[in-house]
Amino acid sequence: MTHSEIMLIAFNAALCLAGAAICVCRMAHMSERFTKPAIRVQYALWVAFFALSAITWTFDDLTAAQVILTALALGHLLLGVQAWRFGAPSYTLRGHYEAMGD
Amino acid sequence: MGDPQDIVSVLIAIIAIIVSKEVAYLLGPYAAIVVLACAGASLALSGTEDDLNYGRAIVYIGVRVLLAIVLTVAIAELMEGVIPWAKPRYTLVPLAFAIGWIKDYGGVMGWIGGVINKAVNRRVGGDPQ
Repeated sequence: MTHSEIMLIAFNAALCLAGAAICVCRMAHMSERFTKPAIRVQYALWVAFFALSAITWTFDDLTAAQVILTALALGHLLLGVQAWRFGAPSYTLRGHYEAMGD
Repeated sequence: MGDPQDIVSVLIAIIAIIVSKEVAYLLGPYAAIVVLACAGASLALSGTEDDLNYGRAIVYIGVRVLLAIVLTVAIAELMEGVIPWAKPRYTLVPLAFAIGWIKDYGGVMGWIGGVINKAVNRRVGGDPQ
């Protein structure tokens, strides 16, 4: 394995750690009672996505890893189908957060 | 002894050993365990009613992932002993997820204790002497 490959693995691991950290931080503020199950599962999929992306170098067949990563991303989108059923959800609209007072 | 290497070179050498193919086959199953345990633990974290700070959230997930790393292979092999068709290569994934997903370890330990207690009482009670 070359120096640049190792640096890429380390850089990817750092990016994945940052992504997983963001997800964990947000999930710590969710709850079973008040958070939609779809949102909780979406973020769990992202954590799995980042964890898997960080360790794809252990796979003999990188295509398998790619398929799983793509399936995780697609799963995230499919879970959001309900929110997009009648057009763009309100949180996507400009001024939404200002109206909420954030 | 030659001149000491800088820390970056040492870290790269350590990473090179870790990412070498000779070691990768050993790490593969445990990498899968870590990924699924992370998913399960994060799902459990998002289901807690407590509002955890970042440090406690990391500990929450870390404990579950460590437990999954330690227990998954052992439980998978025990399962194969009881259910011959449940090969560890297939049961590792759902087991790792389930171990990560457990929220109330006290409850699980109590349940396991109850099962063992019943089995022991049945055995002692069924003793002809």
